[in-house]
Amino acid sequence: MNAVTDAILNPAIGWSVLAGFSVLWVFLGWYWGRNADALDDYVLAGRRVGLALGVATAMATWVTSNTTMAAPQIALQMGVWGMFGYSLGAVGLMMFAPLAGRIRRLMPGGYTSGDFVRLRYGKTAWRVFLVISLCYSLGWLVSMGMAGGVLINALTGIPYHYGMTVILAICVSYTLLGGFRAVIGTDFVQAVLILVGVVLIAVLAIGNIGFEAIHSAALERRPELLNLLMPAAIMFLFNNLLFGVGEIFHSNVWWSRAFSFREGVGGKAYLLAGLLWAPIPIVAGFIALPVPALGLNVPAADMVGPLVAANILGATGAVLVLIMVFSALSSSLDSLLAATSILVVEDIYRRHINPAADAPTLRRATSRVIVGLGLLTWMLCAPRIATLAELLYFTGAFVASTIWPIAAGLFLRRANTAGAITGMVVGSAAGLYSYFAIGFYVAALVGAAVSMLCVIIGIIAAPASFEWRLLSEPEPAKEHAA
Amino acid sequence: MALPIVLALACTHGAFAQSGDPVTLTSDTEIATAGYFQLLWEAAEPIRLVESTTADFDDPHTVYEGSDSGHTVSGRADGTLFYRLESAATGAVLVEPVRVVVAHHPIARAFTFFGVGALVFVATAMLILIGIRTADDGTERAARSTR
Repeated sequence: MNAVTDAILNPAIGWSVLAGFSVLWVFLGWYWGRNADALDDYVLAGRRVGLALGVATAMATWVTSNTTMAAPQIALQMGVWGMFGYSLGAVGLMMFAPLAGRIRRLMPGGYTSGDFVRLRYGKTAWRVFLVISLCYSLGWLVSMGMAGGVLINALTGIPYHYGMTVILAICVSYTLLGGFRAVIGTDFVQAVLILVGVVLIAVLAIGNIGFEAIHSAALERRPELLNLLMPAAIMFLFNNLLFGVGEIFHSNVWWSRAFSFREGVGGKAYLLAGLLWAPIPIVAGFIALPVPALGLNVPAADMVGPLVAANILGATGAVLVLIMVFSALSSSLDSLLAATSILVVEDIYRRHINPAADAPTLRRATSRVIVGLGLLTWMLCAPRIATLAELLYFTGAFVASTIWPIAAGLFLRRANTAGAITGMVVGSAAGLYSYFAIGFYVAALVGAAVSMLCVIIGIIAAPASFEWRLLSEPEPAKEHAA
Repeated sequence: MALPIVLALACTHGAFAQSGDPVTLTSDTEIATAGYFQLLWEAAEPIRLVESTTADFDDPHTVYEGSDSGHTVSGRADGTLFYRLESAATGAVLVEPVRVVVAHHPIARAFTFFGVGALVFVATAMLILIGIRTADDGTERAARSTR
């Protein structure tokens, strides 16, 4: 299904590259995480991450299957606006910069985004939020597991299921060994590899084919890709921006970093990461535009990035792409595994199942949840039910509905519980409806708009008067020491 | 609109090659409102994917030849497209044609969504900017004074 039969790399070369980098990631994971025995060290890197590592981990995590695989897909489907629309995902990182500082100050002992929603809006809103956040996390995990399988199949011909299994197994292994320290450390190495790889491929693509040939072939065979008034692409622009904002505002991947950064680092780190990330989707998306000039067959839209790169650059280029995208996928998968595991442990295990759990128990539970999440992701990846972008934007309906409950909850005392719950539930429902009725490129936009209305109506109808000090609660170890 | 298609399909039906394995050709949508769609097929032999703007393939155009099992179409203007599979070896038609209509969303609808998205973005940005300037919990002022 959707398979390529003429892969550019020999499977033996593919397995060798995967084996080499797998050993490297697992070794680094073990090395960086070998002293992380305490709960705070394991799940939040001791809350002492500095600016350089902070920028690298935020940028590398945001460069994911989204950027390296789905950005070319969107460019192939939506054309020039697709590329630029994708880069608007950087706005989410930049808008989170002021939130990161405020989160760190309001919740110095916080662990998860779920902690915030529970303390700010109460248990019902918290449970609604957890459903949304866990659905999104699984969707993102599955999209990246799928991306790994698709990439390896496109470049080496290794069957989808083998590649997907290898990627998941490696990321689970080193996240398990090293916890959040390993995630942040490997993110730094992976960020460098990703940046070098993307720039090199784009430069070589332009050099090998030329702008004129790319432009004239696209104009002749796929003219709408160059049409600045392509309707779906226009609808996609703010949808992608709001999807990115929703992803970052609600996800524990970004909150856990806000908690782990040293005081004063979060705002600068997110702002710089956003600025550095913004050009990457444009460069990655550009890789899809030579398809008409090359006369290349693209069996499934999400395969276009690696197929074009391998076609233009030959075997060496294919190895380069394999390393680059393997790094991108790993940097996001490990972050998501780490952040989702602590969300499950803190918000479900400790708060619902075992409130008396001490820090060592929570540390062991986190390891088990990482393995469990890996297995669950594998089971959901196996059927390969949608393309990457379709799966990813399906979650957009949910996450965009959390933008206003989170942002208003952080800055407005008057934001109330009813408005937040209604915003998340009705916003998600409206986003899902528009996903199926219109297309994936409006789901987040509709979800965010409806949710915003609900929150504003709630503030006007029954303004709350929230006490900010209620957001500060002791850490688990200190709770039990007291 | 449907009658000529049915007639064309009936006329070409007799020309389909007979083979042991069933050959299928499907599209993931019948109406492509975003200008892109995916064609998927199953065939035991290398094939030729042929496109035409007419049901009787008056203007055939080969878009792919080989052993892959799918093809992504994108960037197409409004119109009706027909696809069929031919054997790469013999040229025999292997399966009934598939029809896909490309009908982009109206531009007014596109700009309505654009406007709503812009409104939500500006409102969210203002909420954060004003929130930072007027934060009333004291933490922002304390943080500024220590820098």
